[in-house]
Amino acid sequence: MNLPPNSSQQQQRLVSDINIRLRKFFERRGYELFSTSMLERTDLYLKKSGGELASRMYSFTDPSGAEVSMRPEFTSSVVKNYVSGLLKGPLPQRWTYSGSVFRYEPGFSGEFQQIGAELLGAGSSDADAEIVAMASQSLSTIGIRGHKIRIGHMGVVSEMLECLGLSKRAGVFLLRNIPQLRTGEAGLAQIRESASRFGLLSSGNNSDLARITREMPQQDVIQMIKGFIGDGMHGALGQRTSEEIISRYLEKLREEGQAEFFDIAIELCKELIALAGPPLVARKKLTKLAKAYSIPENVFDPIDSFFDSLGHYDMKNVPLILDLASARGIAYYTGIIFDIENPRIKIGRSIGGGGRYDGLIEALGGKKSLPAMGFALNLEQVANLLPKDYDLDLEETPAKILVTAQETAMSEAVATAERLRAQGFFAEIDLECKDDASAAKYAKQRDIQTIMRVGQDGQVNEQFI
Amino acid sequence: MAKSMSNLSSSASEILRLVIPSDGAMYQETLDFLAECDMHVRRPSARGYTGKLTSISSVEIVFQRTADISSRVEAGDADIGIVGYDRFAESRIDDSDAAVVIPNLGFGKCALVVAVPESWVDVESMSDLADLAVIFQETNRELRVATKYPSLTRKFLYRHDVNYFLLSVLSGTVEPAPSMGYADFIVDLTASGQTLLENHLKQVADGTVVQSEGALIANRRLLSQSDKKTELFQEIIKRIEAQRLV
Repeated sequence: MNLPPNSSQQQQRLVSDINIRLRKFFERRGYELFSTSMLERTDLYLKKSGGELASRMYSFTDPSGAEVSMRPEFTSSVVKNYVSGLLKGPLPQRWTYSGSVFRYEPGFSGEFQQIGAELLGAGSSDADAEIVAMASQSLSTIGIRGHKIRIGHMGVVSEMLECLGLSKRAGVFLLRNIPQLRTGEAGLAQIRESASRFGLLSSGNNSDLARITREMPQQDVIQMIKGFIGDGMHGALGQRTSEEIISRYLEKLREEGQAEFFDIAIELCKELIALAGPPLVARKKLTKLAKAYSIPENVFDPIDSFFDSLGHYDMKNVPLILDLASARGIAYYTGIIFDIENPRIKIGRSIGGGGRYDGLIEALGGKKSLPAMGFALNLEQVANLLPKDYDLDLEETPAKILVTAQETAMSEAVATAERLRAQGFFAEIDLECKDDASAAKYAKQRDIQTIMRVGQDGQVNEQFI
Repeated sequence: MAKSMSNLSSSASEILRLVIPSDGAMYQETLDFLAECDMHVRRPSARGYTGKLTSISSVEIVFQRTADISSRVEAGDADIGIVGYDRFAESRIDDSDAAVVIPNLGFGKCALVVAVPESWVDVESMSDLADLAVIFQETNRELRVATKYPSLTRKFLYRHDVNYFLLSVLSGTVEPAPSMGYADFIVDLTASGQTLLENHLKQVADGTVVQSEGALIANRRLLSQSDKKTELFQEIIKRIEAQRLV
């Protein structure tokens, strides 16, 4: 290869080369190639990821007036196609995809290359292990060393927070802000400030009404509240029923303060951050932690089954970190989540990762819920990690030949080039009928090894560069 | 656009173009305000798109729909403009040439607010809406918000931890959307709150997206390229400031 190091052209070739190799790697494991549309209705992504992703999407109104977005990721499209019946076949289904995704990131073009895979309809820990192992091995297969995999579990950590008495929304908020917690005291102050602004640190309702309602039977309270607000229930309800509104009103009225739970939950998260490490060691520490917070030990069962299943694969060259405080795009993950890390990749950029998203199919309109797990790799980052001696031409690129001729012999030149191509060579025709010197110069610049000069009689003169 | 502007003859480029509303309540209020500042607008024909200031020559008045004023100044079709701050904030682009010079001209006061059905007795604050968004997501429903201000609405909701919602962007009246059944709540302008009440809607306590009134905006790039325009602009500001001191 004649390309200068780090040129964007070289980067593009690397990305396209690893894309092909990884695709074959996934196909050998039963993952079938599937292509998705680059444009989707914006609400598809909003339903999946909410505000987190929406603020970085390229969205616009199409000529029909519909709100559309350039795809920021693939999973939504795969799920949408499954829900609409386009992905046929028995379960589980295995799909792989690759192409551009678009996300606004200051300082970057906004277009990134991804390859990934989704496993639909399999919910066991063996399915989790298949995906995590495949993601890791795919990097090894193209010669990448030195990466680690950070593994968390959204279901387990949510359950732990729930055991502490934290409301669902406060839990979601806290998990989303764990990265802040890692930055120490300053981060902690910021979290408390936003939690208080979002009304998550309420001290509970201490009004007389609240106290009375806590002591009365539910039915009586509902009757009483209906009496109070009778007139208020006129007009629109939106998609809510009056029962739903009253029941939430009552819940709010009876709610004990969240502030105390929130502080305990923050302490727990800090400890989770601190104990992240090799699975065996971290797992032992989790047992101790659970005891200290009166969380039942069986909450960790899914983690134990996962590591049992992962043990079936050869992962000894890839360090694993069990880190329950890792929270990647928590919006829709429900089980195992993982991130691939490498010290050579700058903080804030991701090589790839994925997780289990069992609720997404129903959320995107599926009639039945379906377990699902997937991951994606960011190919530009993967390309940055390739070893220096990575051989782009592993698949043995055929010799390149420049076929040149006088204008009058163009017909013979075309015939010669076609013949060479049929034999498997790369043959390009010199459209400018260059003289020997400029043909040689051109060939050298283009990394072409052979020039064939064709005469009017079809006679060919070969020249090696 | 920059190219077409530079192609104008030198005399034309020395004319300051002030774009003002041609419709809605802001039309008459802007004319009255300018008159109070001793800048009477002469509009040769009631349907004409341009006019003059009687007191300052070399200022051309351009009439535009309120919704388009910000983008006209942004694009450089006009040097300065008078527009509701809400409209400017909605269509502003990061790093653009357009900037607010005076945000509070003292007329056209209103607020862009979040309003929910009166019947939602459990919803008092943005925190309640954030809760509802989570409940809706868990039960596979979409919390739908109707508005004419998609950009401000989106940012405001995200800032208040309301992360799951579907925006329905309307160009006509927004208040009836919940009772007509195509939105759960709205983000819309209100001056007195009367229309909200009539539509059985109530404001959410900390749900004021932006307080708005008439604002003077300018294209910094165009003004910085012409001393004459800068001079004319300063004259206009002087008259506005004088009126505000009264």
